[in-house]
Amino acid sequence: MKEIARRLADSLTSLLMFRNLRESEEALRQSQAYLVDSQRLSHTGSWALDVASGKYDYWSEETYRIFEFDPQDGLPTKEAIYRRVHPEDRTRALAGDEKAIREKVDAMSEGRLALPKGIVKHIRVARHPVLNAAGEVVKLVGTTMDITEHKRAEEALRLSNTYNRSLIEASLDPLVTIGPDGNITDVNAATEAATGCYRGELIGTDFCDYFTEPAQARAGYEQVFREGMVRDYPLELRHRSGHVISVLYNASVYRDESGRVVGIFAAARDITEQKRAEEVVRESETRFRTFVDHAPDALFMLEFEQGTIIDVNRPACESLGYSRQELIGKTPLDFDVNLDRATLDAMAERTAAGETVSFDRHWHRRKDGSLFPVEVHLSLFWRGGRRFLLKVARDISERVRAEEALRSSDAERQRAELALQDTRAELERVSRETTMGALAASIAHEVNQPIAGVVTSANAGLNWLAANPPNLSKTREALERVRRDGTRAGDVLARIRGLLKRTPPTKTLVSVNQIVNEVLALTAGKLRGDNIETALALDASLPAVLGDSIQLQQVLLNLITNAIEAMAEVAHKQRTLRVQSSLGELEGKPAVIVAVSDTGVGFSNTDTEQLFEAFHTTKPQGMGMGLWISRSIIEDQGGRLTAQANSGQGATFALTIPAEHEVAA
Amino acid sequence: MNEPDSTVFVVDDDRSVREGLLDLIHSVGMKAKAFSSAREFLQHERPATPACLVLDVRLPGLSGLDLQRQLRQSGQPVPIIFITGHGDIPMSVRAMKEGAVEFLTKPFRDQDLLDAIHHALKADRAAREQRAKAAELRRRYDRLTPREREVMQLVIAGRLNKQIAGELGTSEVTVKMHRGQVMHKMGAESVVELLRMAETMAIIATVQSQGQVSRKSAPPP
Repeated sequence: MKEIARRLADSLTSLLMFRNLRESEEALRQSQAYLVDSQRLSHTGSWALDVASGKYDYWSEETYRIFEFDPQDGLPTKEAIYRRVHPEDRTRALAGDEKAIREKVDAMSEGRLALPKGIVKHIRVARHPVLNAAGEVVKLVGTTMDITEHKRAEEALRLSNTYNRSLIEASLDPLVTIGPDGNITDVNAATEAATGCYRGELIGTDFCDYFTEPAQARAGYEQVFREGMVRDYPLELRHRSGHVISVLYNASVYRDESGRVVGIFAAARDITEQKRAEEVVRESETRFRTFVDHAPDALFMLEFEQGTIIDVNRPACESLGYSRQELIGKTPLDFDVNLDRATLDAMAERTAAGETVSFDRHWHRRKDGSLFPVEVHLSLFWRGGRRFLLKVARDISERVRAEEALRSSDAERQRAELALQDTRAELERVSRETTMGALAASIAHEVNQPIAGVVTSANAGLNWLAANPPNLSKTREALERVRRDGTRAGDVLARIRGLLKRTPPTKTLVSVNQIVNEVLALTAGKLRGDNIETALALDASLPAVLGDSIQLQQVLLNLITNAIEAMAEVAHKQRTLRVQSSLGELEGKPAVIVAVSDTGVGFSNTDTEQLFEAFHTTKPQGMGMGLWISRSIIEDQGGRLTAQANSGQGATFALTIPAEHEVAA
Repeated sequence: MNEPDSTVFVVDDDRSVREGLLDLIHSVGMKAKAFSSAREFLQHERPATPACLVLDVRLPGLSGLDLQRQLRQSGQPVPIIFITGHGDIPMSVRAMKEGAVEFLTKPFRDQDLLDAIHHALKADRAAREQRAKAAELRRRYDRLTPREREVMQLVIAGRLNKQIAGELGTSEVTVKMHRGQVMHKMGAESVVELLRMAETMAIIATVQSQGQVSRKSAPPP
């Protein structure tokens, strides 16, 4: 650069010296054109300053361009130029000029221009004093070179070097440069730490001295010089303290601008640490993988944007029937039949808002096409500054099956219960009909008696009417009886109809005594026919019970017919049916007790509970349902039905029903 | 009615039937008395006039058939008309065998009952007369000496005096004398009448002692 400036100054001087030589005019013009070109290319302007006047008498075109003055305006004043020099560099610029004039030497300086619009240019100025014959400085000629580009490049290089160095220093790996002689030329801080030696101590010493096997170290760097590089060359580096660490060297040659090898750049990696770390990571990963693979749920790690599967755990593979490799790269859309792209995207957006998106039931399709239900949770997590989705899918086949089984078994049970209710109602009715059937003759008698009375009384009435004179008073009496007996026959029929009718049970307040009397009325014929004496002991002050009168009648009818049948089997003995009602208690609360005792065959006390079992019967024609139904009826009404063998002969059945506070009318 | 001195007894535990029957019988001008049980009837003193019993087969306690048997065994038989709500054939057969006049099923036609009552009363009247007659003969018979009774047995058996004397180891004169005493004490005009008397007593004996001696077992004269 200096060279150029000086040459330019020389040619300029020549130019001025031969200015008036006409014969050189053409050559000069030519030369000037070259000059302009060369000045523009080299960003170098030239100028001439008249020292006596202190004014410039020449500025080249390039000088105008550098200073950004318009040549049309003529030569700028020194003041105008001075104002364009960067304020910090003005003193230096003036000093350069003064030095060249005063000391009559060439003077160089660098500085900055502060141009309009905030543009800053770096310039280098070269000055050359022109002396007259007396040896006085008359002119100062010089060049001004725009070195902004150059400065910028230099700065960049400088920054780059600083940066590289800091990178090198920041590296945890020991880095060294080695010269062709095998001596260390530079080290970083990690090398200092690894060897326990200062940088100054290391530079200039043999690289091989710091290893347990110097020959191997030498072979290593010789290999680098020979082959250009080594990779993962194992050595053991010895610390000044004697502590040895395993390292792997990666080294390559570095060259100067001409491509000549000037040294080796070698980086050692302390693999003791790395080995341990790797082990730790591997262990941790294995541990984590084990956890993940043994998790009961299928886990899918998805890339956030597209939902592409990055990793899965074993349950994910096993549940879907795909291998891990097959799943990676797929998206849940490939097997989650409830998902479509829009849904998945919407879910991802919600997770991004911090939500865990859950679905009670999605269906996953296995590789073989079969489906199974899963519960799905989707959440967001960050790793390495990137967003991922974690999809957790729990196989809920068992639960769904259980739920369905439960649902169907519920329905089943309800059906069964309804059927049972139906069956029981039907059984009750059949049982009543059976009982009534057994009593048919007796019942016929019960109806027949009042009818016989009616017919007889009617005949009597007719006779009284036929008398001369007619006995009206007697006729009236006969008719009264006809009415009474007819009504009585009707009542009996109504009771039978009531018992045979299948009506849903309705609980009302009923008088137990009244029910006892009604049932005895129905069985009176049978009792008389079988020559059974009836002993009644009914407590007239009993409270009412809440129950269904038809059902209670059925129970008493059942107990009384059982008693009659039990006594029919006993010959030549006193036959007595005893019906007793009294106030007792049930679970500490007042209750009405009705006891039906007979003097029949009875049973052994051990059989008591068996009596109430369904299909248990001791009668040749019995169904064995009577007592079972009776007990279930009484228990439905909150009561108890028990049996007991009498101490003398026969048995006693007692029903206990909770009493209501109101007394039945 | 032409039975002013007779009584109809009614035993039925059913009030409708009992009261109806009582009134029906009254309405045809007969005396009637009703009871609700056999026991009650048995405790009641019966008049010596003709009577009959309208009896329900089924009664609490002592049944109708039991009462029938008991009455017959008591020597004071009463013609019985059974009434029943649901009479079955074996029951009615048994009742009739035991001497029931009629077996009626409720509800019955009043005329059937009244006819049965008339028939029963008539029979009772005849039976009573027969019983009175037999009792008188019995009184006469009781006055005979043992020898006279032996002679009477042989006379009504158709033996001749000589044969009787031979069998008894006595003289024909003595037999004649005993025979005269028998005819006198019994009040018989002829051997035929004596035989009829014996038959009358034999009927009673048959009734009283279950066919030891019966009319049919007696040898022809």
